[in-house]
Amino acid sequence: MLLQLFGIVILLICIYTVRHYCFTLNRVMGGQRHPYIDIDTADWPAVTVLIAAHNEEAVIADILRALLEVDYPQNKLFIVPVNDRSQDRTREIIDEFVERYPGRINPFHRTGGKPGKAAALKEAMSYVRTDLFLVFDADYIPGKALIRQLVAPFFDPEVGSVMGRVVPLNVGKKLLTRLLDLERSGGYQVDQQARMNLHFVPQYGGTVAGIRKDALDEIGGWNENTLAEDTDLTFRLLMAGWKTVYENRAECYEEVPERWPVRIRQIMRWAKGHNQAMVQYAAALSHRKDVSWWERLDGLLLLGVYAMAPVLMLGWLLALMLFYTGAPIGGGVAVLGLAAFTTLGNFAAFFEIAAATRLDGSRLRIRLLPFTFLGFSVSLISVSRAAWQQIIEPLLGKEMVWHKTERSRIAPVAAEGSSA
Amino acid sequence: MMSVWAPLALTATTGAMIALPLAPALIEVFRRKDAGPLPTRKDDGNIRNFARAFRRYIEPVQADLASCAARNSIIEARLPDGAYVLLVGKEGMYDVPEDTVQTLALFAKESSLPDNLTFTKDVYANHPLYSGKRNCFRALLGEDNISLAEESCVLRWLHAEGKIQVGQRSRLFGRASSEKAIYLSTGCNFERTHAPAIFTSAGSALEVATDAGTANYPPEKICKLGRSRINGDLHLGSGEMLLGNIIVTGSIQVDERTRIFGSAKGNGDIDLREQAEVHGSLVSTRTIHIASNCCVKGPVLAENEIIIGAGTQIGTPDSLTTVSAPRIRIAPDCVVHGTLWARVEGRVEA
Repeated sequence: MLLQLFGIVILLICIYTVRHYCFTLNRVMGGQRHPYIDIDTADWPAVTVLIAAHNEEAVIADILRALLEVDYPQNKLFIVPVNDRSQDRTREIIDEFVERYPGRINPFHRTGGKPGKAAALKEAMSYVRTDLFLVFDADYIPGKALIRQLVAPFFDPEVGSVMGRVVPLNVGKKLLTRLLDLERSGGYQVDQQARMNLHFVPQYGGTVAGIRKDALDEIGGWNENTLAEDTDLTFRLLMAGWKTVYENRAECYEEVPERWPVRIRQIMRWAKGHNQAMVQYAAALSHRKDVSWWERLDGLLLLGVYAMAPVLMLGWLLALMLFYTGAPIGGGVAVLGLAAFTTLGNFAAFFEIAAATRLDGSRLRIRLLPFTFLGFSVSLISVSRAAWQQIIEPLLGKEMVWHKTERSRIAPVAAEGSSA
Repeated sequence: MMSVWAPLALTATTGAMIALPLAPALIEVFRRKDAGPLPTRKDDGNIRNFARAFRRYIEPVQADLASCAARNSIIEARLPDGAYVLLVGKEGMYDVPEDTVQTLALFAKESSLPDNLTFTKDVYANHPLYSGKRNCFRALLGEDNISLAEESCVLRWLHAEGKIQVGQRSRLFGRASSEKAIYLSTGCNFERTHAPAIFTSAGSALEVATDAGTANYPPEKICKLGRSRINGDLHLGSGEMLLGNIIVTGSIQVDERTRIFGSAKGNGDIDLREQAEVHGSLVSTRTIHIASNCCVKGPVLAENEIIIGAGTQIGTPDSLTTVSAPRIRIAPDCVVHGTLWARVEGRVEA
């Protein structure tokens, strides 16, 4: 029994290892797809930009300022800050901008209701009167061409949502921010773009992103009962026949967590939300005949990505148990399996990050690669803990709580940075 | 009894072997060399940016160019950065003994150039400029019309406030833009071109192309368009009319005179037959073949190739759009309003 379980774990690890290698090799050696990047002239449609803001006094002014300067027809750009029950100066700052730029910003000040980004966005939909809308978190700083880059894919009638690339701004602050920078590079530069290249399932990431309102309406709107509305939306759109598109060159600066407890809370929330989506959609997706075989496979692997942390820990445990109990197949295989987990399987992810830094043309930060093992270990434990809580908490009658990621920015970003 | 040094030496050696591969990481942590945010795109991507930058660059010698024009002379001047610049104030044929001009050249008056002339630095023309045959420019900015004779070539960018006429078998690498119109003759190669109207023609471009692009669009539908998703291939018969957006998992064939009041996406080839009309965008993951006398109002995007037949109009004067694919082959007598962008190669061919 233990042996069979161990075999399944090894198989899953191998599948994810192959997946990492395929994505990386595709990015390094395969053909790259950027089908919408050259749309520079068009009858640009009207678009609403929603800025999700909950206690964002440290960052809200930067994004409003950047959005007021973007290169998009002014009469077609509607800026809606969604001030979600903020108790700091967020409202005051937004109102100052509204006063200073009359007619440009139409704020939605939410004072009550269910907590969480999805719930806030759901209520904010009454402010969206355009066919398309974009979503930004308040700590993001869009560049001048970003709105056009995110809107361009919607000329393709099959596209339901668009995701841009997130680039950490506060990289140099701490070792953690530098590790997250590497992790983001791997995730976007390699993972997301490879999925785009291979016609798989690029993930809608909930920020630096756009959605076609018709598509959202068709799938029943925002799901406010999830901790990861982005993953939830990606899979509902996929199963309704809408494509999510990733735009690697639509880059936007964000602020990554600077403290480990903040990071741990963030990744635990992501893991729980992702696992929710897995439970909800994995079976349905695997049976969808109108979704291509490759999309189904990639979608299922994407859904299971956070479940792999506890599986990996289980594998370690099983390997040790098999070794010390002297399982009939010999402890050697167990040790080999253990070695495989800690080298080949994990190495694939590091290979991905290394490839990403090379693609980004940033040659020296690759030196930090050994330290990504630290980030990996913390994530492994945190994500496993999240999965455990997800199993235990409903039994104890506890509800899942949405934790906002704390901001560390204390002063507005310099003009040069904001225009970048 | 074992010496105390043995375990110590083992520990130290093991520690060193572990630390050695970590050394670059530790150095980077303590002596940061690459800890800044990755650069992101700062510009707005405007095709005119090179031209604007060049205009700013030569601004210091504009007064000299004007006085040179008043004196009808040719002089050499220097820009603030020390670069030499040739100021040509004479009108008419610019005769040079060499076949290569190795400085920046600024033309103050309407000028013509001899055949087989090469400019290794950028060229500016304040009034119409007529190139000779087989002229080669690094970059060219015109405040009026620019006419490139047969087999000319522009290596980096070309911008004109007036019209641009490009002779047969000429090659435009990089960007080419005009505030009025671009006329491309047969055999021309292009990459990224932009103008309110881009005409293609078989012969002497200006004469033929102005007649192109007269398609009449029916009035726009006010009703909201729906979406149809079709598994497999789609064949729309001749003369049909379709309201709404269509998404097809396979190929699309649209027969003669069929009209689509919406956008069409094919995850295979798209084949538009004669006089077909698409009032939205046309997107294919492979190749789009547009036959003669068709009309597409929105963007046309293909991930492989776009082939456009004679007499086709894309975009409208009031609604500029983009045609983009790695390879574009466009027949004479077409008009594209907006951007025509071939990442690998664009060509006008009959």
